Amino acid sequence: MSDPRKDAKGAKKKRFYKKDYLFKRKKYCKFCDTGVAFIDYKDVKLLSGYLRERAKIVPRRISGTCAIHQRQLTAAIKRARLLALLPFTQD
Amino acid sequence: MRHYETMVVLPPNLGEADLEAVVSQVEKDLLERFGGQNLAINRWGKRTLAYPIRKFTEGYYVLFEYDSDREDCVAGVEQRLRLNESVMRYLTVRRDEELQSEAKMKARTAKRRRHAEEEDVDLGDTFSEEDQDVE
Repeated sequence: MSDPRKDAKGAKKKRFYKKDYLFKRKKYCKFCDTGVAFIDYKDVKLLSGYLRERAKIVPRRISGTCAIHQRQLTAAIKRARLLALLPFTQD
Repeated sequence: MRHYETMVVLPPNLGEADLEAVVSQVEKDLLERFGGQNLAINRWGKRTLAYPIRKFTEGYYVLFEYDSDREDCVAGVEQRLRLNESVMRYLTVRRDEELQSEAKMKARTAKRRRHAEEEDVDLGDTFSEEDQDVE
């Protein structure tokens, strides 16, 4: 009966989103932008940009990478880890 | 014909001669035993490892790029590398499909860009739907 989004008079309450007061930059897939066809596991410089401090893979929701490229990216990072080009973990 | 590349990591304490011996052995296996063609060897040289392997902090990286028709080519080469004591790591990747996907990806990018321009679609805004009933 009581809608948490409405006040006593039945008018809808204004909900506050982060974007109401913060400038939000639109995320985009950098690989799509430049038309990368395949992400190479040997490109250590590129891949290391998608690792966090503890060498975890940066999630899509942070980096904005599209699904296709994120799959390629994770595969490439995992291959590079096997050859000790990238760390599995970092202390 | 499939295109492959195999990366081999060798320990840093190998002498120049031993290093070349391993490389030429892999080369020989590829060309003579497993029907490799168009072999290209790319020596990356000594690199710092991202984590220690066999207590070494450095390693020699050698990349072999080749074509082959033989079904048992990759299995055979990897079997030989496994038996070689001085090989610390190896990885074989099939590249022909990746190289072909380039045209496909280009078409996809062009299509997306056209789509976004024509209809002025906001690809990244996840809040838009929820925001409409706020007033």
